[in-house]
Amino acid sequence: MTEGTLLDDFVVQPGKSRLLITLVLDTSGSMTSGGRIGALNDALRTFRNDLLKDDYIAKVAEVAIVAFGGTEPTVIDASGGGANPPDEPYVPLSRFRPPQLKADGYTPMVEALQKAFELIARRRERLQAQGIPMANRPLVYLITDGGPTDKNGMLSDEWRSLAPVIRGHEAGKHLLLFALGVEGADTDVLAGLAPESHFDLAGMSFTRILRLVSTSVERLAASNAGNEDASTAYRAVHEDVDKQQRMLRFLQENG
Amino acid sequence: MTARGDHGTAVPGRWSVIGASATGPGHLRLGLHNQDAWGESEIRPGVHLVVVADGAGSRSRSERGSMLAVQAAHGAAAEVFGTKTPSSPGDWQHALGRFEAECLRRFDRLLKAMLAEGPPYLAGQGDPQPGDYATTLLAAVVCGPWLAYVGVGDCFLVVWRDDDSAHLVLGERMDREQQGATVFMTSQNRAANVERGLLHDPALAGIALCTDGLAEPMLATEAGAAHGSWVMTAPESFAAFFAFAAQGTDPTALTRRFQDDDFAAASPDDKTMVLAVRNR
Repeated sequence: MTEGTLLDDFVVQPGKSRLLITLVLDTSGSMTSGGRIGALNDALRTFRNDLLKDDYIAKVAEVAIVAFGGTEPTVIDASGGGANPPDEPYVPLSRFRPPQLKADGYTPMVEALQKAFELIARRRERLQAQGIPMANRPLVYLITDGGPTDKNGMLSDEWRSLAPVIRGHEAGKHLLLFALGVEGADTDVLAGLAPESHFDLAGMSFTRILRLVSTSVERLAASNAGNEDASTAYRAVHEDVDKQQRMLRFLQENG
Repeated sequence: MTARGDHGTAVPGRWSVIGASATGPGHLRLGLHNQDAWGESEIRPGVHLVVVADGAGSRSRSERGSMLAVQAAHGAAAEVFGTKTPSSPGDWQHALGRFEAECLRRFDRLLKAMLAEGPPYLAGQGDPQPGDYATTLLAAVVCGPWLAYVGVGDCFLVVWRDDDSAHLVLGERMDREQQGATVFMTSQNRAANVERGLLHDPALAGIALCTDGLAEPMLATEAGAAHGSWVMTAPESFAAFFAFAAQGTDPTALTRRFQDDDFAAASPDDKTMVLAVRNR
């Protein structure tokens, strides 16, 4: 027997851990302007393909979508099966085929984040019962072009009471939250919700924004930064984003 | 490879050691170097130090940090075990306590000296801080039938017995992200989180020290003793690595295995293993 065959006797263990990625997406009426919702739908396809290029992420990632428009958030069947609500909101990345999102109504952002946190807690419980650990802390990406409203469409201050809850989740290592604002986003709210991880991405296409999301997923997974304290993880992503933006500016300025 | 005769033959009763380290695919994509480090040395005839350290991927100088940790363990082992091999259980306990203290003290001293010297400037990183050198450490001194180990962080340790069974001795905890941030040699709460152990096993045939990049591809899970709990275990086929080491052949095959598609897809992290097997 050669040493090669001896090592081949070892069977690589089946993937045991999971990485939960939750996209909390603004589908309020304002997303119809400038064809934003269409651009977001297109970008979601690219997002899946980008992440699938990473063998490790392809193996461990599960994705869920919470859309916020109308008067309340909606848990989307991320497999594209049309279940409403889906029995299991998280689908393996390979089965992530989100339906076309439609934009309408108000911006129940706070309720959407609360719903996302509920989904994470439930999924984590289910996985734990099966002996499946988290590969990394669950990642939540909020993408919005506005500010939170109440059921009547009036601007809401409810986010102020959610902010300390998020800080508690971060300190308890339950999740990391990234707040990404496009044109029209209330940056003060995003800064309040995610003081160390909000990004003003006005002028950036949704394709590029979701590429930034996939890059940050890869970064956090590759460097194990998700197992560090939240500030370290956020700093790692900021460094990457800054680097990318500097490169982009350089390319734009130099033709 | 050590403890071999003039013609490469293994000296019975002594230990042969091989190690391998592969840069994680995620680190390659990010342009990061391998931040793991490992080492081994025969402190005295029949007494071996084996050590691995895993620099934190998100810290700017962790590659250097893991090297300092390995260096500290070498110094500590030489200090504690260099002149006398413990004989009684009490001696071993005492030596283990000293070994732990020396590993930590020497690491702190090396780090302090490095910071005082003024380490190389890294663009965009500001002044170096101790946390930039964050690393885990797992150091073991083996002198069959005794095994003494000290661990800080999430490396894991597997022992191999004469009946060809492999057992996970350190690192069985699951869902580490729930347990708080990984503890590093540079962490404030390090002292409270050092894991140390002493094993006396006449059937001890080998040990494997691994960085956590190998946990996903190499460890299995099974239901724990408490209802609803799960623990990590070494699967039966883990013994293949010890059998490979016992052959005393080309360790680069180990590196190649850690670089193959199966291992790469299982974890983006650097993967390092050091195996010590008792010559028969």
